Amino acid sequence: MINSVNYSMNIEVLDVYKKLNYDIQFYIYGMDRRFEQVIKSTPGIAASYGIYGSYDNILVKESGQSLGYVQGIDVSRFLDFYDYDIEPELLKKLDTGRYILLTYAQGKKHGVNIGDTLTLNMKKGERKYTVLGFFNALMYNGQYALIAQKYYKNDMDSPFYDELALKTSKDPEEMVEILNKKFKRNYPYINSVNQLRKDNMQSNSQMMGLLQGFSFMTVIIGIFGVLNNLLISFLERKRQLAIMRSIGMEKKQNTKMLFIESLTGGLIGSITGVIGGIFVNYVIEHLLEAMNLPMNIHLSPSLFVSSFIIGTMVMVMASISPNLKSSKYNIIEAIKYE
Amino acid sequence: MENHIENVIETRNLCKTFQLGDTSVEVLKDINISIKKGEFVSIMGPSGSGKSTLLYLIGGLDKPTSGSIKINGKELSVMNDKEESTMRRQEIGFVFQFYNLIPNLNVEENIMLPILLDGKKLKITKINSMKS
Repeated sequence: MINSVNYSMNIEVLDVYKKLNYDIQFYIYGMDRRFEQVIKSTPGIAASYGIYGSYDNILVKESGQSLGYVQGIDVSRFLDFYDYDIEPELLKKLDTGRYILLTYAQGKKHGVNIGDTLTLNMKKGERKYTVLGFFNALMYNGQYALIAQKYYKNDMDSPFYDELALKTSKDPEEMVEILNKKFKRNYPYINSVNQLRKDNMQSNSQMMGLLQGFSFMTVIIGIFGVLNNLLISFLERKRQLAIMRSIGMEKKQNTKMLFIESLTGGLIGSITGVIGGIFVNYVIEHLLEAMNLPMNIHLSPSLFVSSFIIGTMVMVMASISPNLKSSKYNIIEAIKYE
Repeated sequence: MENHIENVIETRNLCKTFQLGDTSVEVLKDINISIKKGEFVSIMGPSGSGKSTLLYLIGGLDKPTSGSIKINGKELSVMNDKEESTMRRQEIGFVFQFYNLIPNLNVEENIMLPILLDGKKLKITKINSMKS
């Protein structure tokens, strides 16, 4: 489960950043159109897009839940900077009134359909927005909504950009350094999308590394459990095996029998484990969705195949010790053993 | 020589000693037995006299300290595990004092076990005729 979540997180994080069709994220306090022109005039900057957005908890009156991150978009340029699968016609319509586009996760969270009206508690008071459609995005953990820029600016009383998305003709890291030098008096926050992706993946891998440590320990404990079980099972059956030896079972047959038993046990256990793992991952996906952290769980075939092989091998290897013991015992002593 | 072959069970100077700590307990000492084909032999003696030990040795379930045992003219001590097991399956029938049946097998399976271990398949019809 932990490995699948980790594997999925890596895929999803990559996917989230792939949707960003720009190179640099730029922030200083009080950015407006005039400032954007200053940025654009910097050599190496190919294009810029001012982002109006709010992490403030905009409450939806109908559901009583927060809307997450709401972005006011320039519908004519949005798809140049974001690679979301949204019909251009929908975006055009978004600009014609108080319409809202929600992620599928948001739609489920608030229990709304296309055409439903949401009453949003915005800075200038309650505003009614009609749900225009849904789109797929994991950015902001899927707690993401789009409205037209002009209505955002008005309803959120927001004269300044919250971020600038920049495209550069230079190496993004080099451009970040140039911008940092140029605007160092303004205490800027400038990062390349590549760096953001790396930081995100690093923090995820740190968190998952800890959890993977626990999962590794669980596997080790499990291996000792299997060893112990097989040994106890052998001791319990020592007398039975001795009786079979007394009526003519060869040591080779005894070894073969224990091997087949362990192989069968290993195969059944591994198949059950893999099926259980798939089921748990399915549950986790729904659990994360319920926790407002929607994430597609990707099952790694190699992980399941290796788990299956390792599981079976552990069981077979665990049968070596009982096998060795069974080839050495005295039949009479074992028959008398209770 | 012919006389030897007729002896289905034959022991020569058979000894068995158990080690109990520092003490050696000599249970069997120079036992010489010859049992011919068709003979019915009872071994009697007080408890602890070594009757079971002797049977275990003859049945190949235990190893003697010294001496030799021959079953159908074949020396037990030179047999490897495969030969010894085959002898136990095909030439010796051992009934334990406490039966020692395999609890998770039924009566039929318990009876058939040596045959199955021998790699033979017993026809169901034959078993059914045996039942009737």
